[in-house]
Amino acid sequence: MDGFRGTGTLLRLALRRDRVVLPSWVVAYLLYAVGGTAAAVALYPDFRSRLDAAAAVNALPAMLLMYGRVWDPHALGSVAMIKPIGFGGIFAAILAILIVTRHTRTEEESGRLELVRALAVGRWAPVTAALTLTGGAMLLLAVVDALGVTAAGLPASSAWAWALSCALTGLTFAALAGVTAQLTQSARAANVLALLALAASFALRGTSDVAGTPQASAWWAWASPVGWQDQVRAFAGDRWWVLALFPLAIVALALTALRLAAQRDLDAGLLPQRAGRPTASPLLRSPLALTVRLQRGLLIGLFASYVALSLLLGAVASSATSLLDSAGMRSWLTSVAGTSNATTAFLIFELGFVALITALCGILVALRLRTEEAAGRLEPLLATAVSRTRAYGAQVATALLTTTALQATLAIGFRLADTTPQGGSLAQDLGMAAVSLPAIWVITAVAFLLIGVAPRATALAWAALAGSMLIGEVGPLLHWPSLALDLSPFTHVPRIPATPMAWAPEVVLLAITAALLGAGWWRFHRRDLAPA
Amino acid sequence: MAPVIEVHGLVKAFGSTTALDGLELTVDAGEVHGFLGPNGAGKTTTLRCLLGLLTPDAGTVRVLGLDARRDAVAVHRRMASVPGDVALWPTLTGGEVIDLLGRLRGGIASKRRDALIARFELDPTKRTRTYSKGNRQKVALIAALASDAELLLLDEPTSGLDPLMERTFRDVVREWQQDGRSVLLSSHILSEAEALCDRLSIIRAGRIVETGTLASMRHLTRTSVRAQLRRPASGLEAIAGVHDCVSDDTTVTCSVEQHALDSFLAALHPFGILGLETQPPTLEELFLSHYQGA
Ligand SMILES: Nc1ncnc2c1ncn2[C@@H]1O[C@H](COP(=O)(O)OP(=O)(O)OP(=O)(O)O)[C@@H](O)[C@H]1O
Ligand SMILES: [Mg+2]
Repeated sequence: MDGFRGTGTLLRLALRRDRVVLPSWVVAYLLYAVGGTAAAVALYPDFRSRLDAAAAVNALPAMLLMYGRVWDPHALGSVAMIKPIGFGGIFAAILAILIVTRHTRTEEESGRLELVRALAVGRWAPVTAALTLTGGAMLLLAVVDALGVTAAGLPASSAWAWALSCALTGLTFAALAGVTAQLTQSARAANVLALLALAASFALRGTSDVAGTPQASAWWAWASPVGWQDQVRAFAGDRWWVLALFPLAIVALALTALRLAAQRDLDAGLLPQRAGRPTASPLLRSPLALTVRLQRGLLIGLFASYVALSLLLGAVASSATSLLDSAGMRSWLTSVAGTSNATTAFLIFELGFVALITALCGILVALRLRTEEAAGRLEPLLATAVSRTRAYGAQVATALLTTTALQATLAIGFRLADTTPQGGSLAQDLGMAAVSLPAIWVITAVAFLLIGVAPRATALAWAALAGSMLIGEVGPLLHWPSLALDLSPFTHVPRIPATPMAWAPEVVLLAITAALLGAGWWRFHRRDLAPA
Repeated sequence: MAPVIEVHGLVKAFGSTTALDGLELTVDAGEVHGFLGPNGAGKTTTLRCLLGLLTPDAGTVRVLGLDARRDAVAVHRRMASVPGDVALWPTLTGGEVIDLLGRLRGGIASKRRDALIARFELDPTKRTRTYSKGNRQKVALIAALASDAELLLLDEPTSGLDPLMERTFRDVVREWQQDGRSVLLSSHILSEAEALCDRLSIIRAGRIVETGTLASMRHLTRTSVRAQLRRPASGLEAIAGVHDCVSDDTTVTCSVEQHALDSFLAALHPFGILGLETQPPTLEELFLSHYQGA
């Protein structure tokens, strides 16, 4: 048992390091779940409204894909919790993956683990400590969620079934991240591998609901932990026994992680390393080229995901339209999207959501500048004939171009895959994707502002995104005052073509973007470099 | 010729710690200037100010006749540097990093680059993540030494290098100097400073406490003298500049300041000198006297 020595100490160290991050995540998660639930409960006061909403969701492949089926159209919880049920496990899993990688491969990559492992700390201790920490976080999440949702007025036992299914999904992906952390040498690659597995799980769950019947999902739902979470059918019969699947997977994955940890050397991954180029490509001669080169993996991954997503959305839209040809559907669509053209309504609805994800990508690209600075890699760059303005500008250009290209990818892929006769034109779809760009850039520019002004608090950029998400998802349902809703840049995006194009808000958003970028640049080019 | 580095009254504080406290430093064209001082004295901070990476709180920093902060880019085209903590992009290979840094400075001579890679025995195809400490250091060194800059800033450049590579490093720096170019070398390795440097500056707690050639600094310290006499001597301590005399019958050992050597020997003469050993102060003693309190 020497291999586990030091687990307790490492666990305390991890708790100390995460004492701010973890509670903030839990609070954000709680706000999302409980806020969303309270809002949705208020939305469906009577039986009739529930049946209508459930019918709409269950008839729309896009909704089935995103959130899953409403298994019991009569149960308030099943209808009201459609989003928390659909995404609760996924959010928990993202949190879990990030925590585990942060305390395993990141530590190893930075060389800090070498210091620790040289003390009386066993080879299994880091993974075990990370998984224990995540287990605790997930338990906390489950308790807080169950109590919160019960307080929002839903049955307690179902609330617990749902909360536990989310926490266990999270823990399953924690164990998976424990495995990927052994496979790759870089923390980023470990995160990407685990998140790809999560995306695949989500796709299995989504397609199984689209392909399934009102009674059961297609069989491949059972091949995915996200699918199991759906199959628990919280608030619609609470199939507790499904929860038993999770511990099996968790134990199997955790044992695999421990085995791999025992086999490999410190710093080594198990995936092979190739020899690289002895000289740099002729293209690698500017800060912009370096920025792109450093984020190559991320950019390729993002574009591949957007191509897949847009094709999927297009295909779903094609199948959706026939189902939507009833008066009830049209009125529901008009209420969510402001137009009765099914394809357009669908696209407005989805683009609104995807714009948030594109903003997330923008932040991800922007914050790389801070990562480079904190790691001390900006110093050798600035010691060459590269000015700070150029280094900053290269990152800004990468972020703005990436978000633009992602939105364009979305529109083009959608148009290619959509086969409905009354669907829009490529120009219209491109326009619909483009109107969100100023709002996306405002969020991205917040990250740049923070890099310049508060380099040690750049994580606040995520708060800006989370706030916008919360305002967009929950605000209108809870009838928040328009002053609060106006805080999110996405509130001001014109919903063309359902509403006419409005240039004024777009110009204002662009002006805000420019102001934020300018203020960030002003501080960045004057201040001292700030180490981590 | 005009000095390549001129620093006057440089002050830099980080919060409540004053890292540099009125630093004065001049490096002449064509010289290798050693920059020595205890840990935390402010060497790295000074070099970062010279690179324009930090904004001084007070004082002027001129490099190659330009303002280090305002004209940073113009300065960097003519100045190469090796940082104290070498952080490299983990997914790039050593060869890619050398090329990238060279090009961003304004061009790299591939013949010189390849020659240096061969001399330092670096494998340029490995990703920097997988390099050993010494090999990471070599990447930074080659990137700087391959340039055609006029001035080289080196912050503890040989940390992690094995003795063989250290010798290669000294050879390359001497060649650099033979081309008429200048070097500011921060180091903890006294033999390295002694072998390479024309002049030295010693920094302590953010101030330069001594500048000059090694020979001129030696004058400031005492020579230890051990004399074998015919008769036991007395009264030596009374001579100004003579300290720590220990007599053991006919053998005396004293430490003597330079200006007192003449009168000390004259005082010994009456007792009959049979043997005499003198030891110049070692470098260690020289620096310890500067590093400690004093
Ligand atoms: N970014 C910073 N923030 C706060 N304090 C700093 C920072 N950089 C340096 N210091 C402080 O400034 C002082 C001088 O540090 P510096 O790194 O210049 O020393 P040094 O002479 O290079 O030491 P060493 O020989 O150990 O490399 C130290 O007290 C250090 O703690
Ligand atoms: Mg230093």
